[in-house]
Amino acid sequence: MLRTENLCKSFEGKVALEEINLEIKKGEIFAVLGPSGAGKTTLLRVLNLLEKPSNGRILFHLPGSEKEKLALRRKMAMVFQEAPLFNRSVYENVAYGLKVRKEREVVIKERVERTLVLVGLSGYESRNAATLSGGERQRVAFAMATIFEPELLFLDEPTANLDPVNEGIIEELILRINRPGVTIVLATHKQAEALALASRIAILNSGRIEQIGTPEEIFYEPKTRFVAEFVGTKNIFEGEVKSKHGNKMLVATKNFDLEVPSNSFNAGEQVCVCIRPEEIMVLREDVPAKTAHRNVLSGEITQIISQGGAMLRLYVQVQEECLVVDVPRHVAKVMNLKIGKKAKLSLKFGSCHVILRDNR
Amino acid sequence: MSSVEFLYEGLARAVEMILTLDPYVISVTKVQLKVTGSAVLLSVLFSIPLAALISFKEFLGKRILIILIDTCMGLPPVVVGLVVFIFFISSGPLGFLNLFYTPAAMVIAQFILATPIITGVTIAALSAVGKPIRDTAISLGATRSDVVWLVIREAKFGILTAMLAGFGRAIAEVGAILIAGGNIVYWGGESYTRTLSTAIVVEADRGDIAAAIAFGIILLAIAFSVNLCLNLLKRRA
Amino acid sequence: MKAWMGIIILLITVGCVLQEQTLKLATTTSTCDTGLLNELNGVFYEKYRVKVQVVCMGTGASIKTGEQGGVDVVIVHAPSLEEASVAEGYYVNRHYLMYNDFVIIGSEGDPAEIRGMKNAAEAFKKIASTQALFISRGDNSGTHIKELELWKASRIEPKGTWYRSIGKGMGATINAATAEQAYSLADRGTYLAVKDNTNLNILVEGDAVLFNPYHVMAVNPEKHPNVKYELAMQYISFLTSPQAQKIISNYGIEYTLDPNTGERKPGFGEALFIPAAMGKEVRRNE
Repeated sequence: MLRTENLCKSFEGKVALEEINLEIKKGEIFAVLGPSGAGKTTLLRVLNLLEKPSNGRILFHLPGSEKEKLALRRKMAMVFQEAPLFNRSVYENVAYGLKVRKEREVVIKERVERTLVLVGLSGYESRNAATLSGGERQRVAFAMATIFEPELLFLDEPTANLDPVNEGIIEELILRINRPGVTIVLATHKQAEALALASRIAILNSGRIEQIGTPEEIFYEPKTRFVAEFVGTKNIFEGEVKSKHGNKMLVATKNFDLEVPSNSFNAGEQVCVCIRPEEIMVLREDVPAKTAHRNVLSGEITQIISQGGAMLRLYVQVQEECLVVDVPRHVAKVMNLKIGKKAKLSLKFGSCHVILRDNR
Repeated sequence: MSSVEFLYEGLARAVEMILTLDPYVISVTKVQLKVTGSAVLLSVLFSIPLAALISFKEFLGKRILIILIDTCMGLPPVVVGLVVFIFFISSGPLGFLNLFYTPAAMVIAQFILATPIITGVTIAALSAVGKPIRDTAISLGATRSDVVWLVIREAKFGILTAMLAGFGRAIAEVGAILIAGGNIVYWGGESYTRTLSTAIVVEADRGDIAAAIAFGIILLAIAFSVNLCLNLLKRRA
Repeated sequence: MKAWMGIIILLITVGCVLQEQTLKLATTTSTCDTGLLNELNGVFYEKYRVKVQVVCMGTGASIKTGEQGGVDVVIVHAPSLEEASVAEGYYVNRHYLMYNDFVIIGSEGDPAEIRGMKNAAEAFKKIASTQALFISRGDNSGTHIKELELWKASRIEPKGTWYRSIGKGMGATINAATAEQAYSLADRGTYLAVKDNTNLNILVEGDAVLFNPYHVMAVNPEKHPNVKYELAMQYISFLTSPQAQKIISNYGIEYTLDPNTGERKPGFGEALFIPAAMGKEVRRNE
């Protein structure tokens, strides 16, 4: 659908985007994930031709060209953060995209009706936009952006200010819009949302893309410490590759040694070992010392926090390192895990992911 | 007479003038409405496109221009009257138009007074329509002129306020139209260029304070009605 | 948009139609405030269907406005200024129209004790020496010029807190003098016309120097080709005709006209002006 080449954007000397190279495929949901201020909105605005890039270019696989901006722009649409609406009726808001395309009134009427059904706001035509709730506003914004059937839709934090119920409604709506083949670029700071909706994710940090990949790649094989931390890899241990034997290698961290899958690293290299909280198992105390588990650490539970739902989060002090472990509630109950008790942890060999140590 | 008595008598005279449909008062009121109405109407037709042009175009000296317009909001009416005098008196550059001491000259004077206010407040109203609204329209495929129209429509309350402010300035003003219009009334009491506001000056100069107050009350009543109508319009929209 | 254009064109057309057959006259506030012109202009309209538009200001301003071509004809009362302006070619056909006189007005209390004095300059001297408040028009009008002549004759330079110049018309000046219970110089016509609104009295009158002649003159069409010279001449002939002169001689005796509304009001039992265009005084009620 589109490809960018070395896209840069700066505002009055302040760099907002740096060397962005990405490709968005037709029909996919592409998430741009990053913390606030990472440049997500700027990236979307540049792609939507609202801002001129300071450098680099965008290649669209769409009719029209950079010269015929209007024709090109009319193939895409953007839903802005906080859904700014015109101070008019819902009907006039939703109809706007067709009005400027000089569509006939009969067609507009029929399409507005159909689009309002899609977003679940039938019968809202004559309501003034100013009287709507946050969730309703967001859905009207979606109706406005989709009524003229764009091929490419940009969504800027569509659920940022919504309660969980409305968040669910919007997420479902995004999938429904995507189904007939509309390409969607979704900017969000919520990793769960990106994971649930996107086929591919780009992690944006301070104007730079840290990693692009499928959700699995991003979550289980982060390439940088930033990505690892941002997607919720709580346990990151700095260390050095001690030795390498076939498909495994030994990494010495400050407090303990870990056996991890071998990859391109060599002995002596500075690395980080990452493991997600849900990949650490709590073993029963009476499990014999010598078992199939390769990385077994002993520590003391210092804190237990409910994660809502079925999971509990344990903080386990192992020497000077505090490990974060997610266990199912029923397991914790059976094992009688309590603050102050000892716990034996197993760090699954296959789930330990090694990245290069960067000194940022 | 004490000042309270002046007010009381002024009020009574105002009511009497209105109830008896005093032809002099009606004629003066008509000239006022004709002059101020045309001046504000022409100013609106001129100011709103001008404000849109300034608001939407980026050009060198834009900020200075806006500051200049805001400064002109406080233009002393007498100065405007003198400018009209210099340009439109027979020996002036526009003297050939024979507009001096006519209602047209008064319209021009009030137009000059109202335009900076209507333009300035409209520019402010247009810029108050946030960038998100403009971006939304552009993103939805609007052309430049679509966006301009949209922003004007979104700013309609602000523009209405601008019109009211311009109207208020024009209707209350005396100095400029006194010079430009000559404050002429025909022998039988039919007004040519005398308005309610200049009639107040005439009565005050004659020492008839109660009559001056009466005219003032009628002027206020008209200003109030116009404001009321436009506010009702706002409420309905 | 078309509707707006229509309205504008309509307004311009209406404006043009209203400009037909009108004559612009600049004159002193003292003639305006008496209502005499309401009477004269009404008759003139009946006769010639020309509407006279009267702009009221001081004599100095009237003469200046005419010099700029702002009006077609003026009626003023400062002979020295008039003669100078005619000499410079700004005006033609200057005619002696009428006269009245100036009076010194003041409060009942009369702190300078000038009541009944026959010499106006001496009276001014007394006002100055007692530092009694004097209000001057200060607007370069005929009355103001006469006042300055009187100060000159009394060899006094009017300065100080007792002398206040307000830059307003005759009516407004009498009004201000009433509020302050001060002395002032007024023309008799205006004083009588606003008598209802003042409690000041005539204290000094009858001195030959208080003589106040009014002249009418047309703006020279050679200076300003767009002035309505023909109509101005028609107006001047009318004002100097026996009919108009007789109106002047009777005006104010039985009734006066309100200068704004043209309504009849009770007269003063005496005339406000004495006609002068016929070479001799026209007898009243002839």
